[in-house]
Amino acid sequence: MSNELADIAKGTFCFLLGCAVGYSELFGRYQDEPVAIHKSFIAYVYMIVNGLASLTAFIIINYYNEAIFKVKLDDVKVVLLAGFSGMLALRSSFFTIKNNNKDVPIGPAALLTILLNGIDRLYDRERAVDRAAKVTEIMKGIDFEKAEVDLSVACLNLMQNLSEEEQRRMRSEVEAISKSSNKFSIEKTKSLVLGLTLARFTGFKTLKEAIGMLGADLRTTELEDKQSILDTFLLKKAEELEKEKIK
Amino acid sequence: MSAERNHKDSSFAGFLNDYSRGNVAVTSHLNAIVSVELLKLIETIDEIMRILGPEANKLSEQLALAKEVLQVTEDSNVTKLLSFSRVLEISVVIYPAVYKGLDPDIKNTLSHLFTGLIVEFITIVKKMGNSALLETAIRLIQKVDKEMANLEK
Repeated sequence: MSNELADIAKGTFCFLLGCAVGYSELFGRYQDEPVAIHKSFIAYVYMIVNGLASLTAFIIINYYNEAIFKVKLDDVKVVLLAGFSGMLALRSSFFTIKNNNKDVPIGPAALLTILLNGIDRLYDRERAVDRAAKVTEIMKGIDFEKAEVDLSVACLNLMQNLSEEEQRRMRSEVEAISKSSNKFSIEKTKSLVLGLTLARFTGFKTLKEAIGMLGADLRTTELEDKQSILDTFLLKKAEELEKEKIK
Repeated sequence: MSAERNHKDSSFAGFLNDYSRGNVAVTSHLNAIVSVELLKLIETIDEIMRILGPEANKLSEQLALAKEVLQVTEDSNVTKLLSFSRVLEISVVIYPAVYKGLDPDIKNTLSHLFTGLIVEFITIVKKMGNSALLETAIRLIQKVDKEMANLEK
């Protein structure tokens, strides 16, 4: 195989490794439904940008191999280094300047950070639309007071590989919703927020299974639903009265 | 063994008896509370009618009917409130037209009293926990939302 062909093969491998690193970043960040990554165009853009960063790192490391590392690294090391840490290499800035006591990186790092943050934000927005639809469907009719403890414990026990730190975070986030629950003006909000919080740790599929497992006991009765509509009305009127008093 | 079972049965029967007596006590207590609150509704209606003045209009006619409905002694509280809700629904529909034609000085007071009347009613309905009543109350608040939105236009 000629040198050129070998370089193309190594570059392609580096690009794919970079894409895989980007994929794993998204996979780790959006755990509520990691499979959704495959369906998103924006997620592919994120992965391709990561891949291109690795490819660029490969070209630089391959060309300046000896100059950078003093000794010539063999091909496998170059490919793995560029593939896995291409982003890291590019993220390390050429130099930084101080602005308002903050270090501002100058170099490809700044450009890449802005670009990746932007794509990440776009992907997050895209996921938000999907999350809203899913949580509304799964948590329909779920009574927060009934689900708060039971559903959380069921989800925790269904998951076998949640670290202690994640379990602690999940409990404290559910507690935080419970503590501030009297501030919500719409009853439904509490159970929707609970659903979103739990899904971040367990994913929507497990959340749905846990609800299915606990059955109708978690749902509000027809009477409670009606009373909740009246509660919302009374709360709205109380707020209107309060506003008028302030005026 | 048999004696023990008999003892258990009698305990259970006793429990059921106490429980149903307790339920009756709770229901009659609730009815007493609601009856007092119905009097408050009548007071609010009187106050609104006083504000509206001696000149009869469609709204005062409806409110007089609402008051009448609440005073029917033969009816249970649930029946009274169901009838009251229906009359109130009509009042809510005619309220904007009457309200617009009123003296600006009394508009604010009337608005507070009328909203207060509806809020008092909804609070009582919530306390009663009767499904049919809740249903009519929901229909009423839907009408309130619709008509009050028209009022603000």
